[in-house]
Amino acid sequence: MLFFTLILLIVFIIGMLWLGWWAAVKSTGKTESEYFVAGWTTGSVGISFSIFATLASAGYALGTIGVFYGNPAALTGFAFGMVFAPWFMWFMGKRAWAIGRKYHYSTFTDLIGDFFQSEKLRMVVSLIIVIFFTPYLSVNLIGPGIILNQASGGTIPYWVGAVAFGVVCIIYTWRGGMRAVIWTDIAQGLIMLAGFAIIIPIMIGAAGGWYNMWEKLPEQIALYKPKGGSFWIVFSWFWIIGFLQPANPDRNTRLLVAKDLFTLRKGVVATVILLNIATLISFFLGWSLAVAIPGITPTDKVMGAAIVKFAPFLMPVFMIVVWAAGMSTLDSGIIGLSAMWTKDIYRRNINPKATDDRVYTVGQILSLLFGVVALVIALINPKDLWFYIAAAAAVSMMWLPLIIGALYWKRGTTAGAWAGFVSGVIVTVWYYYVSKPPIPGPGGASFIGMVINVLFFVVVSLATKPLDPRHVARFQGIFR
Amino acid sequence: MKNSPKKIWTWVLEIIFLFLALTAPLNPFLTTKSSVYIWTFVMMGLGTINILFLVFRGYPPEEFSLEDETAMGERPIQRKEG
Repeated sequence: MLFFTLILLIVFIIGMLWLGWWAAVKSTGKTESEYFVAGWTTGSVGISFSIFATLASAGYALGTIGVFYGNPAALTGFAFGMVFAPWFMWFMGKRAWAIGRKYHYSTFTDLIGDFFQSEKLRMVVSLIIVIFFTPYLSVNLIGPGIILNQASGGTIPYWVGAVAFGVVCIIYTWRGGMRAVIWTDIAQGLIMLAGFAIIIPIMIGAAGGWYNMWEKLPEQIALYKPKGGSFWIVFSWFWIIGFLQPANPDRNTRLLVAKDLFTLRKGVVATVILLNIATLISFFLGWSLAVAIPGITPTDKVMGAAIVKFAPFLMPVFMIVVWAAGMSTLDSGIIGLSAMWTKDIYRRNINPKATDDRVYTVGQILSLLFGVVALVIALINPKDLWFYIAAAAAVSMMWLPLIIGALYWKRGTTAGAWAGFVSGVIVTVWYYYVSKPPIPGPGGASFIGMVINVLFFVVVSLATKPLDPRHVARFQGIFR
Repeated sequence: MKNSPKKIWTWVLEIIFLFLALTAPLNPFLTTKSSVYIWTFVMMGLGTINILFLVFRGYPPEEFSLEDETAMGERPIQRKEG
């Protein structure tokens, strides 16, 4: 088994490095737009698979499926969020792409800084998102390290797996930029779909087949709690899934990379198909595991436990699925954060006269840096890391009102943007680190933070002097 | 971009989807496991149809072509901060 595991792993690693190298060979030159938005050449397959593969992180393959094991309210909220996210992404992306293409934007902080006419706001948004988002990257190194250790029967230590995984991902992201990220995401997305297509029938079989599984699925874990007791859990999952996709910097930059708007439209349609498939994967695994292997705690161990019990020969396959899931999220995070700091800190504030070649090199260095920081955090593997990661995801949603304001609201002002963003971050952090939010589930703190954010943004904007209408027209009035 | 019936329908359909989906735990008819999951699948279908309506009818890409494509890459003028 160890031999087979290692062979599969080596093939996977060589494949990813080759794709990254080939993407670099096919690049259109050493320019900022090439490194961060793949020269605006990405097709609909690249966009959709990239969003799907980035969403399906190592945490999804190991942890989220575990949550759905015995929690239908969370599962249905997840399903609703998955068909809302592409709707919101088109609502945001159709304008963001056109404005981004016109002004050569490769991050949403470009849009925020330019629309609200504030370098300081751009810097603060960028800093906050990078600080909170970097620990999130490290989770994608922890899962693969653990799963390789399990798949090798404990022969390969956790740190070896995490380092091998991190080095491969950092190398191809550093070398090929966004083009390598998108090409490898397509391959990793296909690996995940193929892996789950093998694993799901085996798990349904372990539950006694489709009809037996459905008959034995206990009512108490398949029904909502009486008297609306599950309402906030459904809402909370809907909220975090529906709004995290358009908000997270590792996936919303995909809205800027399309060849044209027709390609982006095809990408959004393909994305909803892939996200519905991800929901069905969660349903089938949640149901079959609840019947086949009930009572496993903590629930994030259930996938590994089920594979070991019912199909130990599939452990190497599951390991590759976890590696593909983790790598597709880590590479997107690295390139997203590198783009923000290269443009917001380096090009705008340290060296405004930097050549494209220079910016390309700085982007590569920062990709390396963020990858190494994430790897170091993963090797330390601090206690309660998952808690900080949930907070990171929540805080990184707080720039969403500013983005929507810049795209759609003529009356948004710089003071309003400051008030909304700062208040939203403070409230979200408060409800994560100091006090428990009144709304349960993963989206509770960020929902309250977002309500306060929007409220302050609107009220302060209306109370302050509007931006010059000619300036606003450069963003919102550029369409035929 | 003027308001059209298609745009209004885009929003009406999405609000109906959000209402029906998010109130599922309060729905008195969803009392069996079959009804809970059939409802969820129906909502997934409705949400998907809404996306197709949004991108092909309500807000198609044609409406977002740029007025002036000759000035690509030109950055908006920056104001000096005090």
